[in-house]
Amino acid sequence: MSKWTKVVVAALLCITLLCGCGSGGDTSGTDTSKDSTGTTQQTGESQPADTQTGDAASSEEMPTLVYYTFADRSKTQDGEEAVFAKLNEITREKIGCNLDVKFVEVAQFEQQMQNKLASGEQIDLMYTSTWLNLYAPLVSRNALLPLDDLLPVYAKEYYESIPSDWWDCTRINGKIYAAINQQVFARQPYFSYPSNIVEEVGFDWENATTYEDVEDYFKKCADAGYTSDQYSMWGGIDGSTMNEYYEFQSLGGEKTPGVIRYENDGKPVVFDQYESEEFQSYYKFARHLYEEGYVDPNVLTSTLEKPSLFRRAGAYQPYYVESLESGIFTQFAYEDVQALVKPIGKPFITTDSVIATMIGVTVNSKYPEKAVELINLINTDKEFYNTFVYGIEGVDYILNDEGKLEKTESPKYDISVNAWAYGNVFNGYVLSTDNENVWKEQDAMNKSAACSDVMGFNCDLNGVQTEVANCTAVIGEYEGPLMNGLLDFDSTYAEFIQKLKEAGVDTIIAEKQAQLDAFWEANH
Amino acid sequence: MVAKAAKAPKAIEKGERKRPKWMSKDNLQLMSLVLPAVIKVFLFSYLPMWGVILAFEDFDFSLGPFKSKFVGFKNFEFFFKSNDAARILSNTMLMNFLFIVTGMVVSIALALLMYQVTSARKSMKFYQTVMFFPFFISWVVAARLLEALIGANGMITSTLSRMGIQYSFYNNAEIWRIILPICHIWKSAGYSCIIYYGVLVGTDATLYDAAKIDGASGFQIMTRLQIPFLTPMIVLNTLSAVSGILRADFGMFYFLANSPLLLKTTDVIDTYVFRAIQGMGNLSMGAAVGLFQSAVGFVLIVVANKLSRLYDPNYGLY
Repeated sequence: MSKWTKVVVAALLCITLLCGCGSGGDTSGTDTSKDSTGTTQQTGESQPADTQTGDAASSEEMPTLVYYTFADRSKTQDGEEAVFAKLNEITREKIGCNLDVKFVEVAQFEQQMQNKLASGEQIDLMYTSTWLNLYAPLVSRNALLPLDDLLPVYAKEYYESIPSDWWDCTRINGKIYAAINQQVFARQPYFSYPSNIVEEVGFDWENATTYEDVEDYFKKCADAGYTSDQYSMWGGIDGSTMNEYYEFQSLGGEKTPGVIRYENDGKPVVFDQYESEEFQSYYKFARHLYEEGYVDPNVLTSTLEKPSLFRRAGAYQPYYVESLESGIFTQFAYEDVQALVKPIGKPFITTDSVIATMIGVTVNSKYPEKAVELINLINTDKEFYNTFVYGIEGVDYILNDEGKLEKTESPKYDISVNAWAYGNVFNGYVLSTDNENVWKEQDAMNKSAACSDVMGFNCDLNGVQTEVANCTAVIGEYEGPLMNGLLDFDSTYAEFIQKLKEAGVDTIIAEKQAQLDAFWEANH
Repeated sequence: MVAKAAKAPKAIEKGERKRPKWMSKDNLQLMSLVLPAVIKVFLFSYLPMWGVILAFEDFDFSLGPFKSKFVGFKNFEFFFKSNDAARILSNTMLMNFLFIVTGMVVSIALALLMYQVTSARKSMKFYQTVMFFPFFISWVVAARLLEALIGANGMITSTLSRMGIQYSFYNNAEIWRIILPICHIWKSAGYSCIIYYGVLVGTDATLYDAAKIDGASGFQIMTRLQIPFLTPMIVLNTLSAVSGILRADFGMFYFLANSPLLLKTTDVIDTYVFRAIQGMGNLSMGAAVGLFQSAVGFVLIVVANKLSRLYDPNYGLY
């Protein structure tokens, strides 16, 4: 019999354990008071607190803010404990709260946030943007709290440091729902080339300002014996690249159909970029390149490691002003090869480029006021920001004689690749490889760049989700192959447009135009 | 089982001290073995079931799942309105049909072959492991392996080009109706063959000896004895596979055939939904399609089970 008692007891234990978990997850849908932090990040929450604040009891009562953002965990996990302890020291001293930072891999971030938000888990602060964990849909589903009343009170210094034009970019229905991380907002397309190949084949890269000019580079490479996968455009060309190239302004997501162009009277008109003459001519040109053998046939599929983005010709937006001036991208040098960069067009700021990286306070926040205070700290406190991004001095990095940052040989914690996602990058240390005025120049670029006439307009596509979903699927199928010449223009273009029409592209355009007209009326 | 459990209190009322059959001392041990699986299904399949209401809501994070606005079937619209609905439905069913048939044939053949290798019991473990191993390899890794075979500079592609045949696997959609079933077999045949092999090992070997003495050929033993032994398991496996015929193995289609040029044959429900609503932040639309897949699966399994029981009352899941 004793054997059976054991079995039954074990089984009962299993049930209670598992059910405990199950019902916990179940009820949290409505219950936000549950503190979920107890289990995970206890690092430095208890002991160091007592010594720091000098008030032993207070650390127990201090609220704990939960901050979700994305990071490459393989670059943080060894040093997290020490870094979070230091961050907590700062937050306890300056704003009187504990901080529980949760890093999620970028690929899982959006889905995890959706689930956690829906289940009512405590999230005080959360990354949101135009490309990951999308801002406008979150706002339309009431996932974020409006910050208009909180920012001027609890984050005064930060709030005032951002021009009101930029704050307007975050406004949806007149309200601010997230705090901007300052970075280079101005976007400018460019062509980049690997310096060694350019020198070898003798291409006049400084005067190539159109894709038609770049064809000569491909031709010279092919003649010199390079294969198309060695020089063709990395990762292929997509619609958002071409939007920038043709200076179309996207609205409500880079790939959704419907971009802006200005009519003669200065009024913005929304049209389907995939049907535009510009895109059509590029599809044809791409097909021509493909037929000439200048396009890697596997450009869309190859999952094998690319030698380097900047070994190939490509177009994208710059990050470093200084590199543009000298035409050299030191940041992206690969081994001994430097990238030559030829900017085309003018630096340009749009709503989407301003709100490309933000932090929002969610409806599940237990301490919205503290959360906003933390936003202020992240954006104004250099020590906090640099610890967050670079880790601990002496362990993960050292400051050299000039006060510039050098990473240690094997930093335990370093998320500086995404420094723009965590706060005001201008508060960061200057890298030893960078010009010491880099932040000033970038700031100047932001302030001098031309701004879109519809800055501050945010598009809400909630009413046309069916059409957006189906158009996105169609675009996903045809855009890449057409943009890279893999499909024959004459036989497939009509099919593409036909399918877009069936998927309801005109409804989306009309919706965008109506919203834009309303915005235009109100602001001009 | 549930029906029998319901009867239990009645028996007690009658004053019979006898426990129901499933709780008898002999069965209790077996029941405790099945318990973890029952708990798992209950926790992960029954408890979250209330979540289907998400599919009918315009979900609002501040209101939560129970107070959000009810919008009926609006979230289903995008899928059924899609001009590709016919294509993705037929692709999903055709591909799954191919997987079921080829997977079954190959794994039964492997099980029969393994049963023949009784002389080398030691190497048996080796064969089993080799066949089973791909089951543990993720599709992400498998995609790299596949690319090394049929990618631009892959082994097969370059061998073909040396023979004068220029063929790009990633630009021709039709060939993937063959490549994907092969990949499916590679990954899962070892796993399901163990199940069939287990059934074979459990059969009475003296029957085969008797058949041999009576002059049955190896082929006859297979068709008259072994296959009939396997039939209940085949029916069981097929029935449960049929219920999932609208559920594509997302990882497989997404990672192996990740090119827009292949969508004509490889675009299935799961990849379409991913492509269409990824990044829209809309839980409800995804939930709607998931519910549709489950509902169809439910109907299919009931119908298939009925049909198979009509054919032979012993062949059924329940």
